[in-house]
Amino acid sequence: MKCSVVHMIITMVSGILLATGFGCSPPTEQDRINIAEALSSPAAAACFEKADAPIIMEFPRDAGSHDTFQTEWWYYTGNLKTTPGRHFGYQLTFFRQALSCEPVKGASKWRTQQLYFAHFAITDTQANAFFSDLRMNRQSIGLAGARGNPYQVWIDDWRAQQIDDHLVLTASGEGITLHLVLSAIKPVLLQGNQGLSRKGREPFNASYYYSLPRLETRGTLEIGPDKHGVTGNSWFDHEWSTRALDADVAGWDWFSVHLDDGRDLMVCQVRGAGGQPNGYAFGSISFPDGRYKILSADAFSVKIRGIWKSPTTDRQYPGQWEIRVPDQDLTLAVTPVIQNQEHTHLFSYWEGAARFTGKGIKGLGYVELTGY
Amino acid sequence: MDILLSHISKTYDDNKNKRVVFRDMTAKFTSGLFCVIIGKSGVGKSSLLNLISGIDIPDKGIIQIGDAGVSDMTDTQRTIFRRKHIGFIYQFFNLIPVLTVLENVTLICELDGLSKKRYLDRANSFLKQVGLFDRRNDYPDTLSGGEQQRVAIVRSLVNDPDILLADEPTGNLDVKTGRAILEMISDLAKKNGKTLIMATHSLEAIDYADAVLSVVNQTLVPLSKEQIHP
Amino acid sequence: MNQHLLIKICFRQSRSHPLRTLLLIIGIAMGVAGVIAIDIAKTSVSKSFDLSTAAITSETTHQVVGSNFNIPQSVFTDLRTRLGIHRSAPVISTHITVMELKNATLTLMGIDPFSEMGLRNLTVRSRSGTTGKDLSGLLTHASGVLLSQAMASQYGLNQNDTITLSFGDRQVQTVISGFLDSRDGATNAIFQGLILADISLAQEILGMGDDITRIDLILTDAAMAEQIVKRLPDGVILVETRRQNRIVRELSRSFETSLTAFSMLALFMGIFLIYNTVSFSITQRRKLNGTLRALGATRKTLFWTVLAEVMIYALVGSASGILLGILLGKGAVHAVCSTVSDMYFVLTVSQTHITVPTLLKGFFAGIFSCFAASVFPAITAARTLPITLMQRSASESALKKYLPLFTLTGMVIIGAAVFMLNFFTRQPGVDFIGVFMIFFGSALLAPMVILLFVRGLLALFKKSWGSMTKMALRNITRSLSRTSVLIASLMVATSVYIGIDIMTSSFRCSVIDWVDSHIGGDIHVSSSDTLKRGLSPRLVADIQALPEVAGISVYNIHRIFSRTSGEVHIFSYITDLSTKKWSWTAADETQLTALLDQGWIFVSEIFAQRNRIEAKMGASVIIDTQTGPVSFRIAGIFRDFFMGGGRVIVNRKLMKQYWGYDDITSLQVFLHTPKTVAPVIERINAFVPESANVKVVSGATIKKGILDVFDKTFLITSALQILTAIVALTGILNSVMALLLERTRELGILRACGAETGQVGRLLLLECGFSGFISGVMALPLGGCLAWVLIDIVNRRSFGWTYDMVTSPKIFLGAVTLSSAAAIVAGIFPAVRAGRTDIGSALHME
Repeated sequence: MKCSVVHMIITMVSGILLATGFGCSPPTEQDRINIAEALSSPAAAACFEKADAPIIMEFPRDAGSHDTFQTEWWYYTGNLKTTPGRHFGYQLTFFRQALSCEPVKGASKWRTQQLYFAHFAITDTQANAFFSDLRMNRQSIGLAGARGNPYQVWIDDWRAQQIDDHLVLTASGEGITLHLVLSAIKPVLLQGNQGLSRKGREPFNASYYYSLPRLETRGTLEIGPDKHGVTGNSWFDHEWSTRALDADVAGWDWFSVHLDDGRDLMVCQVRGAGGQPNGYAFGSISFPDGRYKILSADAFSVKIRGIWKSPTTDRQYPGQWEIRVPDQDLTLAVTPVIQNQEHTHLFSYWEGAARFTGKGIKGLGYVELTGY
Repeated sequence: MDILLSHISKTYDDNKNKRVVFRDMTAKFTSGLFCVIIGKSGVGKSSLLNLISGIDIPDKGIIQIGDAGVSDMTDTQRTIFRRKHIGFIYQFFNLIPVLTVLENVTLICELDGLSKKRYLDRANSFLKQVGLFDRRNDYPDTLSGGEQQRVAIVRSLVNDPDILLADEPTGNLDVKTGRAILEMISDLAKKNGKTLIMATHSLEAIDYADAVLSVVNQTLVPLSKEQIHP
Repeated sequence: MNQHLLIKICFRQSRSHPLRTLLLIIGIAMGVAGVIAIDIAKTSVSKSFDLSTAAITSETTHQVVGSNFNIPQSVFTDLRTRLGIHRSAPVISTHITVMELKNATLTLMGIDPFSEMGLRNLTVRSRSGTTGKDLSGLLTHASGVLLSQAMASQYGLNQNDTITLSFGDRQVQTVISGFLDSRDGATNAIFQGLILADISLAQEILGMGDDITRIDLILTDAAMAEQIVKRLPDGVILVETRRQNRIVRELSRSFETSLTAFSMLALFMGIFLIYNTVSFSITQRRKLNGTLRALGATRKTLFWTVLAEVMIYALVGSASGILLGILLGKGAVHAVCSTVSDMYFVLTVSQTHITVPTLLKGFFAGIFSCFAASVFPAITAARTLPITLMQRSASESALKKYLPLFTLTGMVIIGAAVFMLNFFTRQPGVDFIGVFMIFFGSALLAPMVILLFVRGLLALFKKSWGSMTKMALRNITRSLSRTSVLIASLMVATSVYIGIDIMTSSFRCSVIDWVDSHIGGDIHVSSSDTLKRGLSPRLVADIQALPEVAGISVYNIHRIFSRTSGEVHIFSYITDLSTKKWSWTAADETQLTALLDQGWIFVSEIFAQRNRIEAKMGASVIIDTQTGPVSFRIAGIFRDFFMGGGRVIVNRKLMKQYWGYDDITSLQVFLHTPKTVAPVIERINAFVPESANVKVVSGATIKKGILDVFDKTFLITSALQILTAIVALTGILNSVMALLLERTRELGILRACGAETGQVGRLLLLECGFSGFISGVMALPLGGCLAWVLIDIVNRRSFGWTYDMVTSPKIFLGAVTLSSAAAIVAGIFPAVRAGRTDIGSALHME
């Protein structure tokens, strides 16, 4: 459910390049474009394929990019601990945005329709610190891209790559470096209807969406001069779509958690123009043996229990939640491991590690909040 | 040549003030006579000489020298007329410092384009007469005042003018030298038959003069010797 | 005594000579204006350079460039994906002209907007009304470019208008997709020299295949730089941006220094003028000052009174000089920038940059000159004896007393200057200080020379000259203290004229000689296609077969990158019929071809100079090639007037081996008889297929083109020559008028004695003419010396050119005529006034 981020960036970039040349001035409030605006900005989407019918996903083919759709992302988040138990959260996300569905004209290999960008963040819970960085590039001359076999997504030297049976994530940003090896311990989870995940009124307000809910993770994190050996669990989402959201959508709240009983939960609700949930919500729960169940909008509820105001952007985000999945007898209080996990690069959103606690159950997961 | 001044008026504009020097003044200077014009300084003695010589022109009236109507001439005509017919002697000698005595003397002839032969002999002879022949190649500033004035006298005579005008020729000399110069001028003028008009406030000149005039009330008035030496 | 009262008296005196006061102020103003104009031109070149080049690369610390100005784009992929250097950006950059902008030269810069985000800190603002969808066009198919908002509005261009980019003979139509606009004025100034396009479009327009021009980098540690160097393929070089910019900037430095020297010359003339005027007015006030002294004014009071008065003129003159300088400066900026663009590096932004230090420099130069020029006269004034003790012409006798001292000092100064010029020419500026010293020394010698000269003339023509002529000559020596200054200023002006004249005419001679022998050829055939530079071998054969053709030089020229001089042209000949002038050879000239075949190379003087090649056996130079840096042995250094980083000639094999070219880009066709040039051009054109961009021009056209460039280079020099002349003329006019005043009485006597107005005027003109003539004659050796310095020291160092000094009696004759004529012209006005001398009052002056 991170498509709007992509739109947002694109709008930003287009604005920067076209209207104003190029630049990387620190963003001011004025420069930041509201998510809704970004989503509603009409792209010349007529000739893009749309996610409007169920398909049969094939792997590893479908792990690669689907360039005929406008938007696509590969999303890795996870919670890691050092042997003494020091907690870190990480996020490494690759986005693809098709700038046009028209075929490329011109002989230069720099010509492309595909723009890639990536976010890399580390949360250092003990130090109460959040680090994030950004990469952006066009899919030209091998600078960025995604392919299914062998699986690889990359921008510059940030990459997620299949090596033998493992996934290797590497990224190195401003003061932070990550090198992780991931092994899926559960099979692919097709969200929605066999991977077609509805998100709005129109039939094409949907995406193709699958997850790898639990990936055993080990490797190293570097923050400044310190290097930490870590282990933990990661969540992977891969989603592609063309205009998955309605024009009047403000944003969404997305939650994923690895519960210590082996279950993995994902819930997401879309918020309408007023900022209130507009009824389009979806989720899934996967069981220790890999089986899973799709959750419909009425199978769970999300209640806000606290507010956090960003000192950087002055935006108000929800700061605590209560998630109920009555079917599964789950009532989870959600608390971010630290409050400030706001990305403030070209646009602002909140994405961070959180603790999920219920009666006799707990887990670590990730929360994404956009459109605040 | 007689000099005839009829109904001359001349006014000078000194910035804001108008100074009337002559008003309807008529006078005649007879050829070959020595006239002295006396009067206080600023009364118009020099102006009269300037008018006669054509250096200046009257506002009204006619100046006639011989047959020539000086007051009707152009500047160049007057200049040429002056060069040929009038010799000038000044209080401050007015020799050209960068020319030698001889060159100073012959300058006017040269300006007039006369042949060297003709004026050189004359110049030398005059220089001999005033006793400066030996110093003919010296520069004026090596000469004493009296000597310089003698050179000036020679210069005024060398082109054989009809009229000799002298403006305070002794004014810058001591009494003794002045007297000698005065004697020399009148002597040379007489000897060469020149009309001599001398403006001066030195009464000594009167002794040599044929007539004495004074500028009174913007006009020229003849005086008898008795009037001067009461 | 009350100083205010004294100053009041002084001003009343000056007021009675308003024209002279005005001339004095004009003279100061002109001198100051010259200094300011050149300084503005210089700082503007620096600023324009920064804006054209440095600012674009401001944040970048390093650049990856290719030995032939191209690098494979895979190098960029490698830097990004292997080394993870994300503060890096690919750039394609070339100079193009834009028809719709009155053929202004701009930098077409192809960039990758996404890479720029981590690199260039050009803060720009979004304008409303542009939607995101336009971006996709830029990347996928559109030919949209971005242009400075200011430029666009200046030329009335709107979004979606078509503009035509020209490079070589090619023209490409592009569409304005948007405007570069920033809130920051400096950034907007940078934008003025830019046309921005996506790298893909630039690559297509320029037909660069899979190549880009360079990669800009921000590296924070040396280790990273080392890592990069290790990964770079052969022929690709990592350079430090600042260092590289400095090297390019240095190219025109000496040229600018020489301009400063010329402007100082104008000021130098100004000093003469001021001295002249002030000292005259002091003499004129001798009696007044004497009276004041008798009444009790102290020497100190008089000294300061004179100084105060002059300083007030200095203030007025310098202030007007600043205004005039700014006006002149704007013109000079254009001229200097265009010369720099022609000769050294392209300035796409030409900005008039006026700084406070520049204005202050000019202002204080004016004030200081005035002070220096008036100190001596002020001392003279202070030394005035009370009137009761005064003697006539005291000052003239004083000068005569000091004459031997002046002469001796002058000789010592000239001697020192000659010594300096011979032994200390390494330091920049020394040569011009030497020239100034020679001028100053000569000025001190002037009174003695004038005295001897006049005496000589008088002795020679004693018999045949009339008193008027003698008067004119003797008048010169009589007021020697003033005429010598007048003559000395005119002498300096004339010698500047001679010097520059000899320099330019010698230079032209050498250039013509060079064009004729080195470039030679009756017809030039070259590819005007910047993308496909090779000529077809068939064309060569066809031309060779023409019966009118006696022979062809067949070769190729390519640009290569040089760490020492930015850009070097490299040649290799298949057949070479040109003749070179060698300034040094390693062997007998007949052996040179053999050496070239063995892999030795020829380099041009400029290249040798920039690479500090010593002209001796065993000389070698390291040049970056596609296979990395290679050391080459030098067989000879040839005389060459191409600018930029210089030229290198290698054999065909080396060209292929090290730079990968074995094409033919140019031909020089030699005919049996030059008469057939036009028909042969027609026939060659007939061989060339319509589609091919081949330029066929006559040797005469090429020659004219080259000479035009050089003539333009000397335009600014000539302008300074004129400025110097104006200052000198103002001075002469002032002096002559001053002298006239001094002579009023004398002229009155002459008039009273019967000299006609014309005769008096003629006397004055004669005096001026003689002064001019003397100045002219005295200027001959001085001008020759200046020419020698200009040619042998300045030009060789600043341009790297050596050429033979060509003098002709015509130049000297012309100079003497010119200085006499100038003096006579300056004398006309005073002469007319002299004719109008009021005889009556003149005669009664004491």
